[in-house]
Amino acid sequence: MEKVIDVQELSYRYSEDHPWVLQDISFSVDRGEWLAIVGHNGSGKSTLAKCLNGLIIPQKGTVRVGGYDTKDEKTIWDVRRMVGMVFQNPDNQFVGATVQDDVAFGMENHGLPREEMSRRLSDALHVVKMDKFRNIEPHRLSGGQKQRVAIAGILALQPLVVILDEATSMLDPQGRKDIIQTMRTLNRERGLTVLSITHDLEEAIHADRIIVMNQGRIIRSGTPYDVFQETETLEQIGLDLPFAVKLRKVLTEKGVPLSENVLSKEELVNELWTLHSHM
Amino acid sequence: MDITFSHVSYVYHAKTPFERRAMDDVSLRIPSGSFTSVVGHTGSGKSTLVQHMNGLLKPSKGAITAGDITIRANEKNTKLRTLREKVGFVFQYPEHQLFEETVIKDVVFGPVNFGVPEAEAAKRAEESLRLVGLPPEYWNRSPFDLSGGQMRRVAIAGVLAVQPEVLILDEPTAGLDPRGRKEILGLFDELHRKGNMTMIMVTHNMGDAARYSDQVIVMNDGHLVMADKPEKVFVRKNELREIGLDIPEPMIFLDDLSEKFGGEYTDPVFTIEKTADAVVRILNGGRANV
Amino acid sequence: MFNLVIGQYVPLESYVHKLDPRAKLISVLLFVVIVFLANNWPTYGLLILFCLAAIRFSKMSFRFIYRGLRSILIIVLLTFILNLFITTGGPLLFEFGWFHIYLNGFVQAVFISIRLLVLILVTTLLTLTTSPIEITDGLEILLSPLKKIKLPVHEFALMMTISLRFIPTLLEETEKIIKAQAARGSDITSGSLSARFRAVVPLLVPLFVGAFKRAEDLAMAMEARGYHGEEGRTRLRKLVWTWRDHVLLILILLLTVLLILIRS
Repeated sequence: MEKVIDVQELSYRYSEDHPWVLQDISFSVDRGEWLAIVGHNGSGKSTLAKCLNGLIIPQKGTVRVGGYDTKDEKTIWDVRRMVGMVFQNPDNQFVGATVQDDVAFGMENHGLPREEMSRRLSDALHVVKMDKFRNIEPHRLSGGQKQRVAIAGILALQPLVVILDEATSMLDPQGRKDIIQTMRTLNRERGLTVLSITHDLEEAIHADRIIVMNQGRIIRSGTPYDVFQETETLEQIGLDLPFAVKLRKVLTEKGVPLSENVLSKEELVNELWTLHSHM
Repeated sequence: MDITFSHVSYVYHAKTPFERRAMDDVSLRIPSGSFTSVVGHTGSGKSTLVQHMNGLLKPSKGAITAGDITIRANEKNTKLRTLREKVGFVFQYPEHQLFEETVIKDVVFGPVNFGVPEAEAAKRAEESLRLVGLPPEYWNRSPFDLSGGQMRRVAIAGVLAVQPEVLILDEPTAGLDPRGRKEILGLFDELHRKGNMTMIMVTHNMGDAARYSDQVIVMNDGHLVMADKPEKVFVRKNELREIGLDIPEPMIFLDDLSEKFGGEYTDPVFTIEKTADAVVRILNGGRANV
Repeated sequence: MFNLVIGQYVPLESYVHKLDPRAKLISVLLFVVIVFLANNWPTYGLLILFCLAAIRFSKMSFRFIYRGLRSILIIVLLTFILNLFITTGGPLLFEFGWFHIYLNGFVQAVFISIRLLVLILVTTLLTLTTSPIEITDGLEILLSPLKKIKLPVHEFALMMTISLRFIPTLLEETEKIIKAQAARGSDITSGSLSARFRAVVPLLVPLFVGAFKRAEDLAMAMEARGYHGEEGRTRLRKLVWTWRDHVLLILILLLTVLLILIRS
């Protein structure tokens, strides 16, 4: 598997008299996968995200993106083009006066020729279903729409990986669904590598892999099935288990014989149906 | 203190090209000591609705009564201060309203504005900070040095220190992580149960609306479309879906399960425990409607 | 809502809208200068005529502009009255107590008022027919020679674009904080003057804190999106100079020549 991002023994603190915010973090992101990093607010996961495109340079360890070290100033702008980042607050990352200006902002920064820009612009707006909003100003868009514009701006740069840094936490349920849906389609159909940083485990169950963070360290990692084996750990560090996992626990206590591989509601419905057919 | 709306309408930017009717002919009653949730998608008028309850917005038509204060359209009201003292308002992201040098000064701000003597205000501030669970070592720090979750507690304490009879909450858990959510909701639930405070909560989370409320108000396009007990509101799932709203998660699940079993699930179920019972019944009966 | 049209942009399809913002900016600047050439009835008449024609070609309704400028007209009126009294000379037209109005005073007042009026009209027309982003783009290109003397023209233009983009966001934020503090008993929109004055700090501090937080986030987002100054930057928007823009400049020059010829 090709490693898009490779992090080795990373540690970071704001300054010498501060405690370590991130400690001894090692992991990699494979091309085409969906990796979720979960943890409560203040677990260090957003700081970690900022290390991945060189917004923060760690004191210890290395971060490599597509082979480039983020410490290397000569290639930092290549790194930032390869790592697209959608931040939490939809308003505070919208730079352009209109939707198309905002999508173009990144391309302008990276010096793309004008014809190429307008071609990619139409393409990116189409993918996030914002074609009709080309000339609309940001204050007339919903939070979810602004985040979709942010995604379009990143797609236009043809990145190696897109990082969603709590990108859905300020949205209403509809906006949240739209963003996750858009990203899942891009991940599956276009093979886009996605790293989603979230405290919402319901969002993480669809990932290929999950990394659990607490107090600046990685405490678990593996497939969703592996990670959700230890529900107590997750609850202890202040995360809320997905609905299906909670229900499976109670049903098992009530003597319903269910396998442990149930994470989503669809899976639980199917398993219950199978169980019923064999009764 | 009861709150009643009779035929209240509200128009933004009246008599300009930007005129917009945000609320249309709304009548409702919120009984003293109850917990009411207001749901509706973004732009449905739910924020406009609750901002009328403490006089932040004045009706373009109709009248609002809160206790012995009545606010009518086109009439100057001199009792707005008393109303705002009795009806507290926790805005969305309330930490954005902090401004003082220290936590304690910020919490004292509300009660002092409403004419509570300094000493009494300080006492109330300390009580409120204890209530929201912020330890005393933080009280003399700058609120801007605290974490996001702590700042929100300070802001909530600032509203509680006025000792309102009614508390309006506009999406009080927005942006919090699961633990923060649980703690804040637990606090409001306790204030409601033990303090007998009337609660009015705007929320996007149908699960919370179902779990905590006596009454759920559903808004759509400026109209009040439902106002009833959660058990009565959330069984009208088709109507809710039509206006872009979900039902609580346990009911979505039971709905999907029953469909697989060839039936339809219609009973109101809000907790995991009850969901499990219903699942067992469906499994045993093989039919949904049991 | 302020019933004011200055600074507003009204998107319409008209010749004036289609002009290159650079052409419009240069013309308005020239116009502001040549207005001072006018000194008799024919020259002032010419200026008025030019303005009326410009409005006509912009498809803006006269009523809309009149209604939007009504509050500004008070300033014009004040100027008129002031000039009426301070300029002496010529036959006495009117006398009441120690008020004297002379013919020269009257003429002077009319001229000054016209001058003010046409200045307001052309600048208003510029913003009505040109979006803020176009104005910024035009300014950036027109001012680009100043980069040679190390003036941060690009940065200035970017700053303007971002400020314009955040005005609605900050207005919304302001309204929210006003309401939040009003709910805590500190209402800046009603009550005595001293009470309102006391409500200023609780409003301003959160606004500034919020704006700084936004600025910080925005800087971070811009860096993440590859912004590193003007070097190597391309632009999506392109200004196109057409024959219409030539025509406008020729018209302005023609107007200048005419003014010089018929002024007394």
